[in-house]
Amino acid sequence: MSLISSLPMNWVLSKPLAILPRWSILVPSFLGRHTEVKHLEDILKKPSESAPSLCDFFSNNGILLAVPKKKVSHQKKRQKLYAPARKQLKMIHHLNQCPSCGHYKRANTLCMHCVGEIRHIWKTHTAKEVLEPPQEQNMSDLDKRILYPGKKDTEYMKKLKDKDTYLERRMKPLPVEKKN
Amino acid sequence: MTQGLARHFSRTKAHRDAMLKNLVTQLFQHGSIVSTHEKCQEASRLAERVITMAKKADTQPRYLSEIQSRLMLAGDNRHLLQRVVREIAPRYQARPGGYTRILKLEPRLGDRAKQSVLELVDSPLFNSSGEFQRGNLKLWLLCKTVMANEAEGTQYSELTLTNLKKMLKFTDDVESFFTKHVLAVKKLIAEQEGVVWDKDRQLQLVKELKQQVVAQIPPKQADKGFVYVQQRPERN
Repeated sequence: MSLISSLPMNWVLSKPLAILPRWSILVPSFLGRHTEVKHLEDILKKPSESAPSLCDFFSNNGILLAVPKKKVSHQKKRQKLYAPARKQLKMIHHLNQCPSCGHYKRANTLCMHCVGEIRHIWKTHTAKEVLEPPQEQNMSDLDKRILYPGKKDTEYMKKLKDKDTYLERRMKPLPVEKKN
Repeated sequence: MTQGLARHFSRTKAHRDAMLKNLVTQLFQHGSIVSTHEKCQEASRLAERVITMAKKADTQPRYLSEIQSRLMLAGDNRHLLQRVVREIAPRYQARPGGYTRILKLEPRLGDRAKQSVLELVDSPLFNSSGEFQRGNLKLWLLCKTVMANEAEGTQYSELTLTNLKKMLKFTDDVESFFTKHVLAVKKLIAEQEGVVWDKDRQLQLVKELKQQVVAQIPPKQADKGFVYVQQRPERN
């Protein structure tokens, strides 16, 4: 019995021809045909073997991919992750008091809270008002709504605008406690 | 022109030049920019070079084309060349270099890259046409500190006074520095914090601050923990 004929006709037609060359690699037309076919037939005839596993076998072309040989042991994993000093969290000893807000700040670094406040002032005082185009200035709200129906945000845009859910915000450091 | 080694920033030459050109242009446009520390350092070198050329541009017009090739002068910045030559460069006539300042910030939140502020030294609060302009973060922070001290009723620290004195190094008009700039900055901060603004009291405070700053003697080298001596000390 030839191999192709052993498969259901639908399957042969529906499957792309791309897998056929692999057949020819495994099953050369004249050499060693007997043994190979017998082996394949055995696989195909196994009751547990269904179409998906068949596909699996042929999709990899019978080649195994590289995988770790063994589970990494507890000791080895901890050696790798926690032994090198550069991978560990470091203590921040270089802390100062911000002279203006009195909270902790890194030495030789500006206090981000105070810088943020100042930059906020700059922004509010340099922001330019965007005027409406002249044809829209004397238009009633109803007219505007009819002429320019508002853009409807997609779900993605809505998520994108909800910045608090995904944006990392800098927290204000703790105030320096006074020593008695 | 630039001598020695400079950072590559993982960019091609054209890309790197465009980036630095943009940074320098934005610095002149806004007076103060935030970027990674390394980019600030490289941009500051180029910005200082541009200012040096702008200072000479009055007598040697060939520098104008040199400056033109180092800035992005289109769109928003189409009048920037004139501003650099007429407004920014005259400010630094007496100053022999050191026109920019780099202040370190906390690492950036996304990738923990070192961040810094790059700003023009001595940039005034209002430009020639009387509009508010950003910049001179150091002065703003000092004013904030001064206000915090006044609110608590504590003395100004020596460092604050020294830093304020440093700002006066190349200004002739000490009086207007305090009554115009410092007062205006303090008023804007007070507005932001919702503090009541008492004009007379503030004028009085600024006068006192001025007296203290002018009288401030910068700490000697001996106070820093080391002394320069002319001759090697003799051995016993």
